[in-house]
Amino acid sequence: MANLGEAIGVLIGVITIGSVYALSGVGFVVLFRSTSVLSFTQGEFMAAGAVVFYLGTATWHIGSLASAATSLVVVAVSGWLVYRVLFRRLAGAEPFIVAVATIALGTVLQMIEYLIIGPDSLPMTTNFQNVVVARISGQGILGADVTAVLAAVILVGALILWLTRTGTGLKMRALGENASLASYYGVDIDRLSGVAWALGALLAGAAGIAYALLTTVDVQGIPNVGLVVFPGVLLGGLDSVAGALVGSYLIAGLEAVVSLTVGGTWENAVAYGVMLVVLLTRPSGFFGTKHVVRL
Amino acid sequence: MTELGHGSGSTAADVTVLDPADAGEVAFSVRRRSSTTAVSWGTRHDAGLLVVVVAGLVLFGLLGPEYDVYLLSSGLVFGIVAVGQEWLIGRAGQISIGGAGMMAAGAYTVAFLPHDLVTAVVPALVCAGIVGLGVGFIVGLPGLRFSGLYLLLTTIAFEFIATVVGRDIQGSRVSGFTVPVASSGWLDLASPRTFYFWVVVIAVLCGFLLWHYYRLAPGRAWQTIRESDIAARAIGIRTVRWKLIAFAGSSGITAVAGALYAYFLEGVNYTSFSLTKAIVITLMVFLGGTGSIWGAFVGGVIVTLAPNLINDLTHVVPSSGFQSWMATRSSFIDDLVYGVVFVVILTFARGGIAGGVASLRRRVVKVLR
Repeated sequence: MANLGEAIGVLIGVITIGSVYALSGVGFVVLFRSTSVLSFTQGEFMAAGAVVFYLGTATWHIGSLASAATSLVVVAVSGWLVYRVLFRRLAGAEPFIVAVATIALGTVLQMIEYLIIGPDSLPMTTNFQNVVVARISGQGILGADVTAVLAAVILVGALILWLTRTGTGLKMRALGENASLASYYGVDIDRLSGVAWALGALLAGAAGIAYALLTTVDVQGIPNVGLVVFPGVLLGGLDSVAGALVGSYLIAGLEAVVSLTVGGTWENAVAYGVMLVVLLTRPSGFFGTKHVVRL
Repeated sequence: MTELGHGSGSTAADVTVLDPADAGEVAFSVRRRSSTTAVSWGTRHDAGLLVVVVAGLVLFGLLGPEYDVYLLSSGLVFGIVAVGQEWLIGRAGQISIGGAGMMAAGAYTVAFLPHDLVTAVVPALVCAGIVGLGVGFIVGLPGLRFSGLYLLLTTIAFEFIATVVGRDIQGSRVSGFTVPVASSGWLDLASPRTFYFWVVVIAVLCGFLLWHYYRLAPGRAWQTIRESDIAARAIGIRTVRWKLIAFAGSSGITAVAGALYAYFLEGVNYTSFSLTKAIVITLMVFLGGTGSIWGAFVGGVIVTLAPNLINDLTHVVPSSGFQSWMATRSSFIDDLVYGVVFVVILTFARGGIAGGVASLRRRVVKVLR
């Protein structure tokens, strides 16, 4: 039974980490589809979410739920502001310039986070994340695991409902499909791009809170998790929500296998190795739109 | 000097599109970009200016305070790195964030060479350059399949993997490898002035060689590839060949600079070549202005020396509380300033320093006329 227990333990870990990747990855895809911005800032928005949540629970003592809500609002507003102040001006610039700008923005955000809470990793002051909620074959499911999975299910589910059932969601999908055609039909691209930035940041922030509950608030470490989102999203083809979900859980599974067989330091390198292979063989991933380049 | 290749501001602006359908992408883009990135090197004024700058560098190396010479030499090392990366990013338009990995290739070569070769300097630098060429070639092979964002992702993946491999090679050696230097004579790279002159000579050599090639057919080939890969192929440019040359060559120069950096630190540690460093190197290129050799040099020097300048500035402010607050957070504040400068340049001044100087010059010339 020990082996079965271990396997279930690993599986729980994969589902939890996969949910974190999925949240951040879906945020990335929403942003990429509607604005064509390849964002390297997801990791820093994750850290921002974790930092505000930490401040809420440890410094302001406003309770976990209120802290989470505050954190998501703050992160979403910062995402919207980033669009209004900076990336609006970069509309129409070459895509790589925009991507490089998101890297620079990431540095700025990270340094602001350092100045707020410092570079050391801080343990969460809440308790519920370490409470054993249930046991399967002796392996405990912790509050943090439940939080991550619940956050992913609720937020991604709400996003999909919003995209498919509401007028704004329809406009959002139209924007993702064909931006210029959408604008001819009266879709306010400027406003929706701001919404996309806010959504991308919000989902990343939620992922950050979930990850910080699993580990610690680590402004240096969390952005690296944000970078590991790329292999997963790319596996799904960069612009597909379903692809990002599948890819995120696949990469989480792969990392777990590598860390069991080769060693923990190699898991991210292998994830990136897989990304290279996918780039070389199937640049549009397994769910992505194939782009036809015209002369 | 009316070739498209060396991209003088006035020349590029003179390209007129008679029939947009026939003239196609190249002419259009050249015209569109000329206002921000084109910088002229070919005039007699620039040659004169170059002599003055080199003479100034030599004089500073002979007479300047030793500590400042030491600082400037580290800035110039990154100037060479920036020039190498500008080749790939600015000329050939192959967007890559792998500069730190390429530096690491050169630095690790020096760390693993036999003692005698390392103290003799020249063979070590040549070896580093050759290894750099090889690494650039290998990175360039998959790079051929991609352009734009996918290439960016590929190079970031390489950079990421290179860091992990470096950490693995280093293993338990926390402080990394040491690099021996000869104790006397012109090979004594531990002496700041000697090292400075080595760097100046190599920088001038690299700058001159690249300036030369950018004016000739290769420069025009790279520029055409940058503007449009498809158009370049259509007019018979062998894009595979020129892209690989740009990858290998820029990586070679960057690796030589990486070897110099290893001599500068008298050691090699994988933490010096992180993804963050690679991003900072890209910042140097954009700060200097893509499309300009001297711009890249200036960008490299400024970004490398900025922490010292910021540090000096904090001493101007009299409040001691502010100074100690800064002192404990100086490295974050450096990176914050980098990031803000980078964002501002990308958003508001796409041409960087070189673009700014070029447009200033055009304006002055207009007024004088």
